[in-house]
Amino acid sequence: MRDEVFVVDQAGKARIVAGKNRTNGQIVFPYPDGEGEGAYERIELPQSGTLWTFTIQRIPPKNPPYVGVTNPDDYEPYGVGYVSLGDEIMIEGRLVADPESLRIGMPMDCVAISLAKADGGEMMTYAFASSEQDNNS
Amino acid sequence: MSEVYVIGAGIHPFGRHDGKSGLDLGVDATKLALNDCGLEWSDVEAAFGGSSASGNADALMPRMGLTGIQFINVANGCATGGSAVLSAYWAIKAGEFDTALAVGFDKHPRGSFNPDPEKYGLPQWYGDTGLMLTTQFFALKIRRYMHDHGISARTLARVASKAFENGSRTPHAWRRAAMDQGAILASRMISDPLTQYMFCSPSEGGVALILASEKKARELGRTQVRLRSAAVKTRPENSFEVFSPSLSVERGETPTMLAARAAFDKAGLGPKDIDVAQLQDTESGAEIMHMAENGFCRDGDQEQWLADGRTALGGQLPINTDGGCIACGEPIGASGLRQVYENVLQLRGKAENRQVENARLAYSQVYGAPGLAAVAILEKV
Repeated sequence: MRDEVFVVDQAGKARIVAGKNRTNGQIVFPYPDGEGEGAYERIELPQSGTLWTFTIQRIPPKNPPYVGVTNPDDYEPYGVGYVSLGDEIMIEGRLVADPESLRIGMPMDCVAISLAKADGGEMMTYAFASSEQDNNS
Repeated sequence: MSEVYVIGAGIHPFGRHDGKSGLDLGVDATKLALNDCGLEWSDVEAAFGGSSASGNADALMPRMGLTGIQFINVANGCATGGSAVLSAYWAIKAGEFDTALAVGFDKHPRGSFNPDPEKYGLPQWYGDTGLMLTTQFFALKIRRYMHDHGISARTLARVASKAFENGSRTPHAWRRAAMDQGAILASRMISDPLTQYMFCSPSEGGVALILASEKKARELGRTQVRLRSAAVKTRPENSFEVFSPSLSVERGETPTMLAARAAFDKAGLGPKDIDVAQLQDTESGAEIMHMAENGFCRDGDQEQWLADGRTALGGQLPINTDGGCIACGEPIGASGLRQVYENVLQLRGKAENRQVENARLAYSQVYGAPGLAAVAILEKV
């Protein structure tokens, strides 16, 4: 897969990088690499969309593959959902929102977040934050 | 082409079995299946077997005897057992062999599975960031289904409660204590809306089935249970599958819909003909969605069906009569074979206090990562 998963502007808003099939117009994510890559044009998806479904990861995932904090005392449950970005594709991602506020159909923005790793480091990833509130608690 | 019969069936009870390897469970099940039909290991002409976490199923050979027969290791995710049955079915039906073994066993570590992104052709970040969990997928899928089709959390609890009730009547089940809906709803939330006791857990177990040609079945006087049809299908475009970083906004058919249609078509049967069904219930939501995907009801009908007890023992279409994955746990290699084992007992009239009266046609469907389903339809002759 290509390393470029999303791009971020100066305001911290993110856009997902996807591939558009040059023959049939199908949009795919992640952007394919290797032999198939030439068949796709690089596109950036809309920055906002709506929540199609969601859940809350209440218990720590196993490490590996998860690199975040899994120690039960320090673990913070996080939301996961699919957000439709444009008319053709929905992207799965972490949700930055009060779990109780989540509902299907709510407007979401793509943002970049820093994920604290269990080894003390951090990694940047994309996530979806509710567009209805300013603080992404 | 030959008709195909299930002449022998053996199971090692599911659950946790300290001191026994996964392979031990497979060996025990194979011996029980042979005893069941009065054959010796040397009578078995071909074998198909699978295990996800307990090594190659072919490791059975030195334990059972190096008879030189073909043993094909089957690896097809959660549909491994169903795929082993299908392979044995084809081999007999084609007339290549008169007897074949379909076997599966497994022994998983406790807790949820932790898959490797690379094995699924996915980027490492997908696993790194906490998106690669089967439990999440099930929750995401049923959440949307509940929204679209008016299914309540109470109905999720009814499915699990039925599973534990049936499991309490089943010697091979792991969780054998009944549990009421309130306790299920109040148990720890794992991935909203699914609570701890709505999920199945990875477990340990082994199942073996001996399939035979009509000629062999008649010779042994074991023609009670015929395998009418079997099918395995993989995901088509636009189906909502586990480990999908993206989905099309178009919702298409599912691998289960394709496998069900293929199996019904080959058998010349329809959903209304079925008397008892074993459906993949990785969690409560899966059983609900699979009721519709296999054609037994329309989307949304499940709310009333469960409230009316139509899928409970004594109902119009009992589903997961041995407690399914929720009560038996899921040893991946053995799970689909367990469904067929239970159906064999039901058709032989040997299911004791969970017996479905006058069961003549029995259906099983197993579904799993990365998006495939296997269906088998058995008939009492």
